[in-house]
Amino acid sequence: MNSKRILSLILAVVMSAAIMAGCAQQTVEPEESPFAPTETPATTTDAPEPAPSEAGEEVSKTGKGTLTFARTESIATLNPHMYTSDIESCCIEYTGAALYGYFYNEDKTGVSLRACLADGEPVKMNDDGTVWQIKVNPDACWANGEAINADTFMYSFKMLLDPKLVNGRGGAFAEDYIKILNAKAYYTQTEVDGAVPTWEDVGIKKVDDMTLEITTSIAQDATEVMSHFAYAWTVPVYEEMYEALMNADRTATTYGTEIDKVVCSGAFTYNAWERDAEISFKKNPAYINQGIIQIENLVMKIIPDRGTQLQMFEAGELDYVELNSSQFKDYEEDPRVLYSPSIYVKYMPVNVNNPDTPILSDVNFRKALFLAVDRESIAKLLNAKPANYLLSTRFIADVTTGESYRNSKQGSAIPDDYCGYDPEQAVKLFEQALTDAGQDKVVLTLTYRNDDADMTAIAETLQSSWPSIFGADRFELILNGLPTSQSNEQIRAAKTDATSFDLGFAGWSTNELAPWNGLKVYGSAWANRYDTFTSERYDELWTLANSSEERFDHEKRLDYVAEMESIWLDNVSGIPVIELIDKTLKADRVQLAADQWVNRVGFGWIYASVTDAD
Amino acid sequence: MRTFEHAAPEYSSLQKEDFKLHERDDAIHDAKFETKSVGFFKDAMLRFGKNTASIIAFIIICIIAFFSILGPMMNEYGYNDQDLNRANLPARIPGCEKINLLNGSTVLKNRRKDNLTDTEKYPEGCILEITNESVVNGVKMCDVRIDTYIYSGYGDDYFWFGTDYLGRDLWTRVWRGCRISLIIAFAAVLTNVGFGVIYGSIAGYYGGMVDMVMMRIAEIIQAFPNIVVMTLFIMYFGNGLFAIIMALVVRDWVGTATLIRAQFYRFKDSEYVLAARTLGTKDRTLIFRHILPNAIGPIVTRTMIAIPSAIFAESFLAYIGLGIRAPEASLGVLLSHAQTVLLQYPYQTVFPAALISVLMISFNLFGNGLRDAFDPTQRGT
Repeated sequence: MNSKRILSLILAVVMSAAIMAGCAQQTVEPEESPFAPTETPATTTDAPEPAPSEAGEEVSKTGKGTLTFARTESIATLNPHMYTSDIESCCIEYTGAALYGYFYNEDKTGVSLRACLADGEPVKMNDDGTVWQIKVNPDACWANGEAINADTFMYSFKMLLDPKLVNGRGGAFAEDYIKILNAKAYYTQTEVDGAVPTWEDVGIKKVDDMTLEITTSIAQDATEVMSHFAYAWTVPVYEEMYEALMNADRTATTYGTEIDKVVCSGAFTYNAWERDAEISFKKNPAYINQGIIQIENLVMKIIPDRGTQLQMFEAGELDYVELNSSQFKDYEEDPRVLYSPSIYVKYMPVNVNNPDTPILSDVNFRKALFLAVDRESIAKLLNAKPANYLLSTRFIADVTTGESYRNSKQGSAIPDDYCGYDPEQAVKLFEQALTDAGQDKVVLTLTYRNDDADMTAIAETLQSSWPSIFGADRFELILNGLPTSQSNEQIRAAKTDATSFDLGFAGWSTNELAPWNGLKVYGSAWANRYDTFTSERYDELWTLANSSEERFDHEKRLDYVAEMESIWLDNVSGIPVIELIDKTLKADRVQLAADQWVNRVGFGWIYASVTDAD
Repeated sequence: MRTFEHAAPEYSSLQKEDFKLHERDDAIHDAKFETKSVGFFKDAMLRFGKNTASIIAFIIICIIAFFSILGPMMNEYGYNDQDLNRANLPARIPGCEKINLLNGSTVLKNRRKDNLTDTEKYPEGCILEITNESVVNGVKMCDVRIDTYIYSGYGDDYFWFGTDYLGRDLWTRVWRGCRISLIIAFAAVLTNVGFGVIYGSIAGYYGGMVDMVMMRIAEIIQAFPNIVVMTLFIMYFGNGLFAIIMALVVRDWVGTATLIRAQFYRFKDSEYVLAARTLGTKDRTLIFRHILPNAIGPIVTRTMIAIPSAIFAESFLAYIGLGIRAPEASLGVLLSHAQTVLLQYPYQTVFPAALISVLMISFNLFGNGLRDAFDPTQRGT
């Protein structure tokens, strides 16, 4: 071998090594910051004593083992006032504690809404139920050991409603489970009785260092107050940092854009964040309920591809993974698979206002489409559950008993013969609608997300089955497959452009513990709604179920829910198709704190223990 | 080397009679070649014929084109005949019972061993092999190789490439998809060549200010990122066949125009063009009859090389969700879905992937052969 060949060989090896080195993952440690959380001294007395674990062993303050899992979405912000996505909400709930929270009940068979940073339930201060006091737990503290008190929440809530910052979550904080006096008017800077309210007019006051007083515009009960202050957007922000990261004209803050730009108060603190790749958490020994957390580290990897996630699980790199319908084929008999109800009912919103397809405004035609969906076949194909209803089985009627709304007297009233599939009746209604409209043929376009395999399958099934039911010469369905963002945007654009779609696909993740509240997303006042059908009675019922005195009668409230669902279904505002069933594959080394899935807590991954971790 | 020397003794003795006139009685003129003359295109074809790889590639392209036209008619299944009960059946070809990929068998993983005797779930004769026995959470588990056709109740049927997630025949869809991909590619390339040729001819022939303005416009268009332009184009005009073809044309014609312009600059001042112009030939005739034929070689070569690029671009668009509208299939659309179930149903990827690979390689080899054949520097070699 001559010297040139040797030199070439050496160069090739060096270049390969350089490429390999470049491919290696590098976790970027956060830079030093004056606000970096400090280790809580071992002698601190602020943190509660460790609670015994399930096995009777004392839980270490720092925890033990690492739980690694994956998500498909990316994280943009960790600011509780601004988050928009589910993954951001998860991160905020891992690292932030609110006044109240959802935990396992005593025997871990259901969910319990109870105090977290608060000290006990809210106290009703007047007979009307419009003034409530909440005590802050004296043991509540930040991860850096500093105490959390009433001032902490006063500042956080003031910033959340700040009319200059216009935080995205401010509107929901002002009015959701409860209606805080003047909060919405202050947030939107609208006049009340001839004047725009100031912060002093808003119904949030500090009584003493450890007590808050909330004044509402309507009567509330304790559960509503607790539920409202359990939302992730009520997690407190750290004043000193929030102020320091504010811009000069106080219209924006960079709080929560890096892990060293946020201070934690929850079960975990941020450990490292490599954007679009991985975020890791470390157990917070100063967390008020630290005794129920057994693991030391949480590692959340961002892996958009489900196939890659499954391969990593099989290689032992992930501790649990969600299975999609095609992956489930290989695990349908595997005892490691955990099943849980999905909150989504996948439905097809119908654009009743489209001037290009006026036949969609005919309820008979919409009913014909509803009755022509073979839900059982589609559900079988996708390992899902046929749904001819709007509220999924995950919605519960009574948080104290955990009874599913669908199993309640009101929820089970929907007839489920053939799951709403009746092609003969569908054809009759279709013919009647075409006769009334004076049309020979209908051509509709179905806008769907073509990056969602389930939606694609449903869309293509309907494209084939509907013409065979109604007649290929009488009906044609054109498929308009778009990526998720474009598809959603096109459907929502109907507010400004009535011709933007005919039929679409949608599904809502909404308040599963309060279906009467969750139904807001189908009402005419909801800003991001997919539906175009509006009903004054529906809106009236929602108000009755959420604001009137009658809502304190539980059965009456469920009657309202049932009537709202009936209005939606009878008018075919949308065509429900299936309810998904979530499937999760769990590694043997993870021991869950409870045997079953529970609303809001889920499988309780953060309460699990990992036995054979390194 | 021998040189003539006047003084050399052997020459000094020569007499006049020693010399005689040679062929004095014959007429002296250029003899006619006994062989036929070889023109540029014939020479190119001769050279192309000697390129074995290109010839094989051309034959493969012809075979694929044949199946693209007739393949979907070779069985009774339509490209959108759905049957959810026969979804995801693997390939099964008569006579290939010994080949696992082609005998309709598949491996069901992680099955409870105690369920294998349940004939309602596993019909008689469907279990071929039991492997990887293990115990998971105290339950005996195993992998089972089954005859998927018997398992699904389609024991007498044959789907040569299997079925997809809606039970549609993949043989029909693959060849129909190939047809669509080829139509998109040819239409896009021909449109882009047609427009590029006209644009480049005008710019190159007239030159000066016309050329300057036209080429600056072309450069501005070319400056936009191709993917961005294609994506926006389809998002605006929808994902129909025409929109996809135009998305592939909207920017790619610039390369052809530049090539043609260069050819015009090379030939437009030639003597034969000057002569034609002196005789009063119109510009249009000069452009298309006298100068453009010189560029046929590069045009053909560029067209053939652009086709696999267009097929690839269409596949890419399908991958990012901007492919041809369902239920129509293209190779990109088929692959886009198949890659999401690669681990569960690998055969759904294998056939379209193999076809697109062979198609791309064949077109590239064919294009390279044409390029060499039309290369004037290699003429006569």
